[in-house]
Amino acid sequence: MRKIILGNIAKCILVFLACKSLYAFTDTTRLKEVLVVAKRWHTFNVGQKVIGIDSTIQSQFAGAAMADVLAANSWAFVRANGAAGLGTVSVRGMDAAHFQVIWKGINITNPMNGTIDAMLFPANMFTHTQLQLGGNGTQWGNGAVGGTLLLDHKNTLKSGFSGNAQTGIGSFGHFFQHYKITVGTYKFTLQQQFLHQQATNNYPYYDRFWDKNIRQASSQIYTHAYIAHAAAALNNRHTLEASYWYQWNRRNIPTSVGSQPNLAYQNDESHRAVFSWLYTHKNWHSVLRAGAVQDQIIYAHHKSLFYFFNQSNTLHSEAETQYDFSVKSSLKIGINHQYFTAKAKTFVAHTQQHRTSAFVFYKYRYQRHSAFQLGFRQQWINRSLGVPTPSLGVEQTLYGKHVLFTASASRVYRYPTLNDLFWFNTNELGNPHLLPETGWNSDAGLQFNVGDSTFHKITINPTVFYNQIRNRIFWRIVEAGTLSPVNVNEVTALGAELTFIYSYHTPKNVFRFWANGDYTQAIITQSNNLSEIGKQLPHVPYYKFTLQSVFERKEKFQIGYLHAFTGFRYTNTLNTEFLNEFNTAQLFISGQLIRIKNIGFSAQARVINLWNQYYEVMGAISMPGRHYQCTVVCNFYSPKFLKPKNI
Amino acid sequence: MKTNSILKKSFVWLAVGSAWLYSCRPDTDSTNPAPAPGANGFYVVNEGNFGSPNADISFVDKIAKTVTGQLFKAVNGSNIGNQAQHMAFQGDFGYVCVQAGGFIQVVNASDFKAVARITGPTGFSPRFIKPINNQKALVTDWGNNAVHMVNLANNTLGKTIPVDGTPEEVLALGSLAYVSLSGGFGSDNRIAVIDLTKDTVNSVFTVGDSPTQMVADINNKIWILCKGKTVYNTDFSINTTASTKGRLIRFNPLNNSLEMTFEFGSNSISPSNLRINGAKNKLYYLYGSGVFSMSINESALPTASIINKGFYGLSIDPTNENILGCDAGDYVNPGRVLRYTNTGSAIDTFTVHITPNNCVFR
Repeated sequence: MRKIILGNIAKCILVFLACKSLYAFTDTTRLKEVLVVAKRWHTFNVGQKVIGIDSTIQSQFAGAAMADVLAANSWAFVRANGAAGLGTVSVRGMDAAHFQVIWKGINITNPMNGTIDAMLFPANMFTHTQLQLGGNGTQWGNGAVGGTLLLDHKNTLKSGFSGNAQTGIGSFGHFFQHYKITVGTYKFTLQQQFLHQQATNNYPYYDRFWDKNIRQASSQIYTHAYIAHAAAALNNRHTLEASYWYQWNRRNIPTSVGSQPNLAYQNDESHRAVFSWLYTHKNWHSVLRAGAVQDQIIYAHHKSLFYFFNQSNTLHSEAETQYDFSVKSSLKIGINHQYFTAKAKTFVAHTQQHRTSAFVFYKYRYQRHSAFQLGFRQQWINRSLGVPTPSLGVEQTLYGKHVLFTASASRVYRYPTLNDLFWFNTNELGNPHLLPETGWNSDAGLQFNVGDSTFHKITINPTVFYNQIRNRIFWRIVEAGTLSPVNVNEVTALGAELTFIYSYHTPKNVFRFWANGDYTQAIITQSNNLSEIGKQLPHVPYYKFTLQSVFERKEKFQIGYLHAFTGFRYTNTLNTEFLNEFNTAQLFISGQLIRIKNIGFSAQARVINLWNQYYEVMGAISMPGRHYQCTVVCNFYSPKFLKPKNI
Repeated sequence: MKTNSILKKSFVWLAVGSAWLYSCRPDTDSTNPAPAPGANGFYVVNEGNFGSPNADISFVDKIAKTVTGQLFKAVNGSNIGNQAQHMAFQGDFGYVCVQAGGFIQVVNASDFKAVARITGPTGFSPRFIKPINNQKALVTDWGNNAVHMVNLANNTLGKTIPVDGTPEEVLALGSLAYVSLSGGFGSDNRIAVIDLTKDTVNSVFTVGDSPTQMVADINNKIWILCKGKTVYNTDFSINTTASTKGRLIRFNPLNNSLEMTFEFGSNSISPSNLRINGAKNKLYYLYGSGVFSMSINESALPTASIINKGFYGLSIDPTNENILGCDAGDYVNPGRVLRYTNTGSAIDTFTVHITPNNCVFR
């Protein structure tokens, strides 16, 4: 066994060196396939590392935001300022603008600032959540440099109805309600979800500047969300899907350490809609997809000292066709068009941009668990030729099913955001002459299945990655005395990730231990400021690891412990300022209370920040200490709601 | 058996790795020794990172050409607070407005040791402090649209004087204090006049839009810099008709008249940082991409800059009329102070702390 392992490691290193930027990594957890016709991001992800956030994990985070889930269960570093603050996500040493969020196949990342706020995504409103690590420019185009978060809903046709009602209360006035109702037939299904959440968030914390414990004075949140998802199988060949997501959030911006109570607030309102039509034939199928997104952000002051309003609108349209030459090889081609408009007090006028892409993928599965994939995307920005984006992915089983080698390499790019290009304010000017950021992204990994038996299973998954980005965009004071974005430097990020999973199964019990660790070195390798060269990028921790241990008595109760460590982070490019490392822990227990025929009640309790640690994720916002949350869940379904028919 | 072995090795490596990574964190205990501030140097007010309590005062020794980047921290063990905005000396003490922190930090001028923190009412947002004498000072408060009297004898806030607008700076001349009502993030166009014998608003007069800095020249005329106002249409394009250009105004306090008004050329570029030299006969200001200077006797604004570079802040050395440009860089890394002669020739550069906004001389 050792020879096998060493041999694989040697091969992996050789391949890695030969290709210089060939990266490998493995699918740590693959979600169970539920789609008869898989979406392209499920089918054409050969060689990519994908982390699935399954329903078990989501249930541990009832009432929490997606940012909390990602921070505790993945390598993602969530730059969060608490429930009422901003929560952007970055992975593998890249920026928040290098992380994209895809909802039902359309990119919902804000085109004005190029980022998403993961604090605004309720964790348990999505049945399918995946984190794809590494560059994915061929699949998603602009901005998919460090990673991509995929949010989706299960499309299962069932006859009858089902429902899920959750309500929870917690420390600091936290209260939430979430209702999910599904009705359908074998031809049509409609699922609707409602969420209401609020919290006063007046948590006590230690203020390191005043050197005393004080209470957060301005961190209230209110959230209303509604998601509707309908699917209809018109016949054996035609399937329609329509989804709509509305969300409104109001939050008072938290007071930072050493400051007067913050009187600023932010309202976020968004409408998102997607419609898709799927046509399947014997050995090919096509999808037409259209979407619209409107994001509106108001950032203002309670005493009217300032008022900023931003609104962006995006129209998406996409067509793709997949031809299956055989069960082994498939070809997919498609085109995508995105039209952005934005208006803000700080823009010259209405701003618009067209982005059109053509993409092609080819996959060949030459063994049952071995395949390679080639991809290519070409984008045009307002009719100007963009960055060509090739990609390569490989999966190869070695020595039976015991070892899986994976590798992927792709070109990546990020075009300047609308703010980068068109911002117009006193002493702050966008730069229409910016070049796109471009680079290469690669990884390689091995997945060892050790001790596989009926009861015990151990999986070890080491991965190395290497990313390089040129023409990085930074806002800086330019000679004109104004703050403007400029292409200033080159960044190289390399690192290693390790996953260790041990699980023990008996017919009635399950024990699972899961550890993730990573080391990331993200260095500025070229810059017009020589003092920056060789320095670690700000807000990129060198180290991060998470541990999770769960014991489950099937259909009775579940108890688990999560621990996450985040290493120190510099807060500027000269590495003169930094934030300390911190640990967080969570203890949770859930159990079935009662079941009467088709109605079941369960309850969950969580202790968050179990060890009552004082910490700051981003500068100067203290996070809450130990706090609690209790949730009651009611599930019900009609007797007929049994046999699913997947679409 | 193999599983157990792997597990044990994993934990050993985990422990070793954890110890190593902890050892790699930066040293937090290194501090510079306190310098001895004196007449041969100047202080730099650094706002620090936005939202973080790491503002500080730098001290630049002009003779030795050395810098103490975080003087307050070096002396007192921690930074001065969240967003230091302005500093002034009076007698044996220095007073630093820590705007987002909501207090005025009092320091001993000789060794910079912290003496007191002057706090205020809810929302207190001290922007600019003007000592009148050893007993009292005036401080502008963005959070309450007011000017407060500061009792320097016992370091407390005294009478609050509402000014019906967001106040920026204060200029004291004789028994009157002139308060520019800039409007803060919005716009205003007035100057409030406070009678220092009664500590009440005596009168209000209108100037250009967004008045900020004021200086008094050798003839006791007051020069007022107005940034102008940018107005947007409903589609957020600039309303060029309603937008106004910046102005430089000369006000005669003897007859309360606006004697001269100079209008800048653009309604999208705002002038800022009006300063005057030690002889009080030459004005300096920032406009767009340059530093401009003009005699108080000029009849028109200069068309050419003396330094072709923009800055976040500007100061003039009263002893030799050197120009000090504060370069905030990207607002997260330590900034710089660039020193020039009064004709615009570069002298030297000092790296200070994060986001320097002005220099102060004792």
